[in-house]
Amino acid sequence: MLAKWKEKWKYVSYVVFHPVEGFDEMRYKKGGSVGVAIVLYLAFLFSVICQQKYMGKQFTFVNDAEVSIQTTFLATLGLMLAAVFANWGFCVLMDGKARIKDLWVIFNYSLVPYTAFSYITVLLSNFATNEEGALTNVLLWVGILWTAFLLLRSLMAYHEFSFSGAIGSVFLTVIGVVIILFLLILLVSLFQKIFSTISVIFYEISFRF
Amino acid sequence: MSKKMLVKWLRLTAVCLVLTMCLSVAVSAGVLEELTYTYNSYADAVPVPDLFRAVKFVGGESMECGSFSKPAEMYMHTDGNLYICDTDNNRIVVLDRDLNFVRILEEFYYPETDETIYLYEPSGIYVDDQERLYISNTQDCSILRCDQEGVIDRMYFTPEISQFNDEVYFEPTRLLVDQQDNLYVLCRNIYQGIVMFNADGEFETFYGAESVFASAEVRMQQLWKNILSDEAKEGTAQYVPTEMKCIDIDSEGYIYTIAQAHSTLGTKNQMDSIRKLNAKGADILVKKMPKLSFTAFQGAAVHLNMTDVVVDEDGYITIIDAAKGKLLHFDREMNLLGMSGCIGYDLGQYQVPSAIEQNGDRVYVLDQSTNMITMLELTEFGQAVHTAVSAYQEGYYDQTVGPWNEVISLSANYEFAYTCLGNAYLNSGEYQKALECYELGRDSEGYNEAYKQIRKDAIRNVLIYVVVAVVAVAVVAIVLVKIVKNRKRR
Repeated sequence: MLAKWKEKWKYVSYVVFHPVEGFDEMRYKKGGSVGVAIVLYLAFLFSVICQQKYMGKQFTFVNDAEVSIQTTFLATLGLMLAAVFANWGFCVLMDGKARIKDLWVIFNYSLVPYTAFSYITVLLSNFATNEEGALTNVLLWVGILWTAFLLLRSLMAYHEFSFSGAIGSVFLTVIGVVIILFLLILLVSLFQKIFSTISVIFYEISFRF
Repeated sequence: MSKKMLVKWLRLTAVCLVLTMCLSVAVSAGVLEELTYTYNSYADAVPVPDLFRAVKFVGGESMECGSFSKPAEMYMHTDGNLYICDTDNNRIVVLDRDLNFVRILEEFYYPETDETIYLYEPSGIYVDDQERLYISNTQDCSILRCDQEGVIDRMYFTPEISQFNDEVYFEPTRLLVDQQDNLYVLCRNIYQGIVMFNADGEFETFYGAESVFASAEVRMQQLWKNILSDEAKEGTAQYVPTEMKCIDIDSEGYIYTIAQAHSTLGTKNQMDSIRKLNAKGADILVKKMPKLSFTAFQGAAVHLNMTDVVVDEDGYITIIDAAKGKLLHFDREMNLLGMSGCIGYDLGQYQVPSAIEQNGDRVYVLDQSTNMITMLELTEFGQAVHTAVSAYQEGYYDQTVGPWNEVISLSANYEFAYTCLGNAYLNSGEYQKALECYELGRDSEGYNEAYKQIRKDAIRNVLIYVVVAVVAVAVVAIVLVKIVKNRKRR
């Protein structure tokens, strides 16, 4: 059991450091694991919270009242799931081969460099002066670019896309996310109205009797 | 119900009534606190102890002169006399520093034409160093200069310039005189600036005109004007600067003005309408709101209607706001020290405050609607803040540690005090203490400076050991390598 779990984790470092052949191999050997992806997501979530709360005081003073784990959790998870579904939805039309499960896995595996670098940034920001903040920013950008490359590469491998196809699918994903969020907001406001109508009716009746 | 019971109940009710009455008297005596607050860097309003406490609240009814009527302006002379422009009663009332009645000025004698001159809705007064009164005789379109007895030695009439014509009369309101005897006058319906008369009483120039705020609407208009014909241009609306509402001069000769700010939200900041003008008429108050006076206050300031400003000898700026009845107290760098007051009829509350003056530790607020004058005194806390700020702004950082600690002991919420204390510690090289103060003052720039120094010291302390260690390791390595090589040779 433990050996199997270890085996799964090997793919993470392999994919991150050898993205070109790594994702292909992971796909054919079915090496990606949803469980590992969930752990990676939690690490990412925690890094976002750390960035909000534990940046050095040389850079900013955080108002603790404005840091909310629940909001961050919902925002990141919601965005991630929206991206997964949007990408899947568009890429099915473009003859993409990845399943929803695969997309959840590769999105989270691709986030590893960003997560790692943001931890490093948070750590360094507590020892750097404001003037050195540019350097920590550079580190964060390295993480972002690395993650972007992994994402494109993984989409190419799992969807069997060309490079331009992968880029196109990313653009479509962004549009899809916007559409999904819009619909969600619409849905939420609709439900709010329905519930307020019901509650008003309830109160009217209760006041009468 | 028996008769006995009824009597019992009645007694009980009476006792209750008396008790509640006593209680309400006690409560109403207790609500006279001003509730001063300021803003912290998280944009929250934070209560601080009162900087000023209202101590006296008087109207003309209690004096020989009778009630005031819509008094528009007053002036506090350095000798302690308060001159009130009792506008609708067409007179000047003089009170002393403790708001006791001194005398009335109603009739003025003009020797040049040998006639008696009466005031007609005066709405501006100033008294210069030679005790000469300058009075804006607004509806009479003139300004008169007289001595304390009311003998006029000079009259200022409408300047002969094109800005004053059949449509726009010379209606002087607030005025002041600088050290060179130049007279600065605000006029109704004049947007070109402050009307300035020289020491000889002749019109000199328009001084310190406001600039038109370039909102999107104004920009659009400019674009159109490039295209339109000359006839069409005349039909378009003209954008002119807003009129100035009040004027004051500080001990260094800088003139402070506040203009009617744009009411449209987000176009111009209300604080930008406060200006400090130098001799050339240029605004030198560059940092209207430094970091410490907070974006939050800028947001709140949009809804203010600042009617008068007073600057004391140490440069503290106090502004009265008619929209919410607030007294805003700033230091000379426009850091918000605190704001207090509200709309109401109680002590320390105002209806339409029209003028503010100060003398020593006292501030006087004139209310146009209630016709009352409120006298406020600097509290212990206010004095502590003033002591600290004054020493701090004159650059005696090392002397500010005590005063700032005093301020903090009176109000632990005062972010401004922590930051200034941090600066004082930073200046004297006590970086660890500075760091702690900056943390409490939530000043990341200062924190950065202190941290830089602390880290530098730490590295300097550690560096020597690091160098020694590196050298030692290198020597050992070289020796080892040589030993190994020697062995190989054998």
